[in-house]
Amino acid sequence: MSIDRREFAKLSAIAAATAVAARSTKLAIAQDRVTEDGISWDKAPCRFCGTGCHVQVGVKSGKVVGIAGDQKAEVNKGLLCVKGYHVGLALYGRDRLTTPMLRKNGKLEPVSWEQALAVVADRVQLDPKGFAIYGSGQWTIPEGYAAQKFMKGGLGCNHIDPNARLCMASAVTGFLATYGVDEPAGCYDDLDACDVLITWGNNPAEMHPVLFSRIIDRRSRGEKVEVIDISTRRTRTSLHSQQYLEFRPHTDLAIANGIAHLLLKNGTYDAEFVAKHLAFKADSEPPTLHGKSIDFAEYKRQLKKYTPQYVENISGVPADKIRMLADRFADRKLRITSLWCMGMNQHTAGTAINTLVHGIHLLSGHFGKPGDAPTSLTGQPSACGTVREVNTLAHGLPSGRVVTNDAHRKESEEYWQVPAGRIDKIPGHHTVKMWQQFVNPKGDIHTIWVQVTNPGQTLPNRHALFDRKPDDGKFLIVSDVYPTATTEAADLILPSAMWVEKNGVVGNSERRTQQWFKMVEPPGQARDDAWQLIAAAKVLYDRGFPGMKRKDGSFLFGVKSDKGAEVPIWKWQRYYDVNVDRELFEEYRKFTRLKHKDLAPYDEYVKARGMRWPVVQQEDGSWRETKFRFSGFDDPYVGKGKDIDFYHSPTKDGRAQLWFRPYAPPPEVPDKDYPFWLCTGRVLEHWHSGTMTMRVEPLRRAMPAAYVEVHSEDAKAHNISEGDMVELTSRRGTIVLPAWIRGRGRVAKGSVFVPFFDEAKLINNLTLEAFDPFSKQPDYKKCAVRIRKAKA
Amino acid sequence: MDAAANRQGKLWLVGAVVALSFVGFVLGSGPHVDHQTAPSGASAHEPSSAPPARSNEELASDPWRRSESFSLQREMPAAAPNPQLRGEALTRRAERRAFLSAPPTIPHPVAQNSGTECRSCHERGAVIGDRIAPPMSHPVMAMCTQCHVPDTSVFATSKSVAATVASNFQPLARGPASYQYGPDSPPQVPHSRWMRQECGSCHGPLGHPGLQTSHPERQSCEQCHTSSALANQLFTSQVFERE
Repeated sequence: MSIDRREFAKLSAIAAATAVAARSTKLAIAQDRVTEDGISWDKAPCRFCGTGCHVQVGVKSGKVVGIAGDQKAEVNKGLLCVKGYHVGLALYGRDRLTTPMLRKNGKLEPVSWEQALAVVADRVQLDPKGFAIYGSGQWTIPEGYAAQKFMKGGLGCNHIDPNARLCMASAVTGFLATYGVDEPAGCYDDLDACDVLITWGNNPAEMHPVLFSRIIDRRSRGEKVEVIDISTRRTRTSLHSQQYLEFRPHTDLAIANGIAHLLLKNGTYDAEFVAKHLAFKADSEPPTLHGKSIDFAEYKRQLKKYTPQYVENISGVPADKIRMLADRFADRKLRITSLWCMGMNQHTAGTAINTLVHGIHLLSGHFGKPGDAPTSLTGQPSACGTVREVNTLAHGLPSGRVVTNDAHRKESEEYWQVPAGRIDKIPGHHTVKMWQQFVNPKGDIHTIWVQVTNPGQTLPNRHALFDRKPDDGKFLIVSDVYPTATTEAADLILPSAMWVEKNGVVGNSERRTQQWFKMVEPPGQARDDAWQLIAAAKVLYDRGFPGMKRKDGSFLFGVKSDKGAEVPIWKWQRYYDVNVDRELFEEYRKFTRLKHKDLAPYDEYVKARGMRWPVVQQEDGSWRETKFRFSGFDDPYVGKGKDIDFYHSPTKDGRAQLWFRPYAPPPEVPDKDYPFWLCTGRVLEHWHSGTMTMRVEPLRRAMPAAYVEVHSEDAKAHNISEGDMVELTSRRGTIVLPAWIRGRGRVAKGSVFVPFFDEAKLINNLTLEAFDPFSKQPDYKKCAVRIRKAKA
Repeated sequence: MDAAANRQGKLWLVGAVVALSFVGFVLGSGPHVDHQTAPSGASAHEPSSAPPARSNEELASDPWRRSESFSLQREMPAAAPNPQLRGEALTRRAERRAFLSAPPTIPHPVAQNSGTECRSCHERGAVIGDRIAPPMSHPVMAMCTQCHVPDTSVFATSKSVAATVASNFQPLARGPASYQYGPDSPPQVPHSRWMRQECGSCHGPLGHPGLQTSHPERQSCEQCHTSSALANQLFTSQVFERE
């Protein structure tokens, strides 16, 4: 054997002991198994997308040395994607940030943590109402909860908004407008049961590969699954689909209306489901999230003009294919699952198309049975857990509460033990507005603290939203792990711990809450994001800042030991004396009952590979997760004897809302000067702005730089050959990229595609910041550009 | 003869176009690749002579089977594995992986919108000239490129490959040696069996000589060669503490 048998026995014993103990006090390098090669292994959800695969992390001598798929995880059943297999390497890029840095006379210079935190406190005290936090769907739940409490409970300021505003805000408004409560009713189990999978402007083969292969691997086992890809660009998902329907950008609304039209015209909708479970809505004037109620007759009347031919004229999808889609939904024997992600969310009519796709599932009764589900996917590991559930949005309070509701504010103030009236009732700035107010020298935001995200690369129309005027008196604080386009512009950089360098809890796309323990130390002086918030709060407390005091005068984030003594968690050396994640999570848990998003105690998640809420305690004391929400056979909150119960109905009658929404063209369409559509997105190998994956060698070797996909006929017309440099220009910016004509995706004629992962090729200099009126989410999938061969 | 040569020529031309479409892309973007992290120069991968993968379209008109250099079989070498051969095999294995159990990268160009083409060579394995296309170590899964991505450094020209990353990641160089009770007893499997259910992938006739079995006629490997329950994620260490 390569390691001494006695040594192995010793390591195993330590592993067993730490596994048995609650592991909630003292830093314990977590150990689930120790293998014969001396590697200790423990579970963690993958750091990257919203799928929520569990990996096994192998640690030896204080370093991550290997990663394996976790075979006990229901999400991924032991399989990963190429990013997941290499997630451990993301910690070890040689340029990790390890020291706080402050800009002095234009240059970033190292400072101590004490100095750095004092600067943060100074900026807060300058004017707490002009201090903002720009956070992330990559925040863990405890981190986001701490930031939420710091801002709304501490500063009495609502200017906190996350990058998930750019990512799934329209999915949220879609769920709220339809069901009155956020997040999907179905789950990944639907993927094992569906007969038909429809991908709406979605490329899960690259963006959620583990979920996509879960479906198509069923075919390898002899099962029949039809995949219908409705998209504006041929992708790897199209390649595995039986049907590829290409539509003109933005016309998905017409397609959805065309399906509803035929279900009504042919009498193939589910009349019983409609009669029992649905009410009808249309846009009000002025438009509001919940619109106005209409009746079934009015709903039918509005849809009358969406004949297959009319839809073909708008969308370019042949009328026969619209009939085919309607026939699928008309067939009650089939189980149909719809998947969508950024295509429907990054859309200036994002809320509308979200409600329409829910609508055709509801109208046809393809809802609430395993395999029958309209399901939105998320792109970040805790977009659901931290942004949607902790509700770290400018208008939100934890678990579906809003700052504009008196009762919600009162309840939150009580949970936080802060004086009545502390929480401001006016919503803060959403992302686009927050950055507009920051870069405008006269805007009302003087400081933004960015955590776990990279707006310098990912904000739309980045020149307008990120470029600052010199000496504007504004101040940018950035907590991150590597140098990025955002740290480049920072006035203060705070080095952060990442992933298994800290404890964490996140929530994936299927309502699954997942926990992990710290396994290795962060490098240098890098420290947890939650610690940074708490330590800054303590500096303010010590300076007598009233917001950081509870009603009884104690520290807002104060934690007591079992013996009742205050634990100085603001001192880094003492931060892991208690499990701060567990403390924050247990406090947050109290909020989760209101909207029936019940979470189990922290220690239950330690034992599980995640659980899907609502998690409800059984008579025998065990905790049971819910797979199918609103369905009588599974959801404990459905009224007795009911098969379906929308118990948060916006109309308070147990009914979901079936919306009519007309097709209207997007704000910017190609014209004579800018004749091409530009679509942006991701690729399999890189995750978002590439901060982590571009530092992982196999990923970077496979996909080293950004490119522009051009249609072969357009390339010919512009004298562009494979690999030629092409200049792309929109009304907002210009970029030069190599052409990829026979590339990974095949764009439609008259359109181009550019991935956004490459920080040397900032495509967001060209994109448009126009946003959906309800969700305030911008559209990264459509704007007008012109192309030409660049001079050599 | 002439017709065959002609066909062969065309085939290589098509292959070259597939390769060039990717290399051209890499070359075109070459100057922008090393903006972020200085190339460490540490990992100079040897260029690979592996031919580009063929697309389904190409395979329909010109399957690999028709090339003279293609075979599904290889004679087992006469030489018994020895520590030196095994060392060479493991070194070679490590060149294609970021760490011991990472999915191997692809050492030849592939079409970017490829689907099932990989299976034409890798489902059962193949010999193409002096190259071996190893058979899959796991059951067939539909999306090969979900886990296996091309390593552009081994088939692009060296100038185009600046995608070296400065990293402090230190993989374990070697796994544990196989546990053997005595000199005549069968060694234990020193690695997890997960995604390596098909022993023949490495240990069969198409495996590297240093890893090949001395008794390929025996098919039920696990009858004699057990593997670690811990490595296979079957138990936690707690189970082992029960006395």
